[in-house]
Amino acid sequence: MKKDTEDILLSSGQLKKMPFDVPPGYFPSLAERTTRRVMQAGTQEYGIIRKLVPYFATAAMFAIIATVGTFFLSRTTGENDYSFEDYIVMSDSFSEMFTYAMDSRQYAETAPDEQDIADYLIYTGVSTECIELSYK
Amino acid sequence: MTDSDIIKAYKDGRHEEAFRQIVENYSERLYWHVRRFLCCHEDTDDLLQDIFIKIWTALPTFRGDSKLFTWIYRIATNEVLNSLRKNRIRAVFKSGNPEDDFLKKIDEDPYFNGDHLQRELQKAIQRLPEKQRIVFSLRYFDELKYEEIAAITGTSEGALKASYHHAYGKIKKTLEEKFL
Repeated sequence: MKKDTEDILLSSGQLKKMPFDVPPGYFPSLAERTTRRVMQAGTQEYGIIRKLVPYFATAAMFAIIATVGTFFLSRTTGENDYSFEDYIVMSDSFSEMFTYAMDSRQYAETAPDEQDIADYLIYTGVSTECIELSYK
Repeated sequence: MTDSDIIKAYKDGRHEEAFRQIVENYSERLYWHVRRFLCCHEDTDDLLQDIFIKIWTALPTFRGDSKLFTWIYRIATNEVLNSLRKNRIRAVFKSGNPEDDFLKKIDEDPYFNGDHLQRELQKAIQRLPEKQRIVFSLRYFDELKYEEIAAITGTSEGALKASYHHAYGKIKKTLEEKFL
């Protein structure tokens, strides 16, 4: 029985030794056997491939960026591919404001009359009283 | 041949000679390092061969940023951890507990030559979580500095000290309950 104050893990130098044997003659033959097996099994080509991995990864990254970029560019710069019918279809979705802006531009080329000005003021929220006052 | 001589031989193109020297210098140390985790001689021998194949194939990538000793131990420790993970997965499929397997191996190992206290110490180590087991093994048995263990495991010295302290305490308590 050991004393209570004694650290059991430091009590014996034997504890730090591995309590296992190995088969007779294991270590003397280990180095030779291992070297022979490793030379047969593994070439160092793996090391070369591993060295090339960063370069392959960089090339793959650029290829992905180029592919994605080309895809988006083709989606955003293909306006000239629209047919006349496409423009007609798209024009249906224009807002009232935009329609008014297009109309007003057309009118501007032929000089707006009083009715146009009144329509515009009403559209922009100016009260009828104010409009009447401005015409007086 | 020292580690720096081995590195020089490799850089001079004497690859096989350098590798043979690594095997000669490190095989016994690595054997015991692995066996502390795997318990069984046959498993240790198999894994040791795999570790040396890894070292041979990775040797061209060794740039000398760390010590050769640290680099070799890092490969060996990673391989041990991979092997333990595989054992754990196999145990899940067998609906068993890998810890029980290891404890059984210690009891049934025909090469065991220690006393009862040593047997219980080995069992207590097997019950530790993997990280604590590695730190305890490298510090207690191999008597490596925390700085060296940090380089091998990639963990901070502070965290290693805490892990070792926990592991040491658990093992001490287990052994004291049985023997004092």
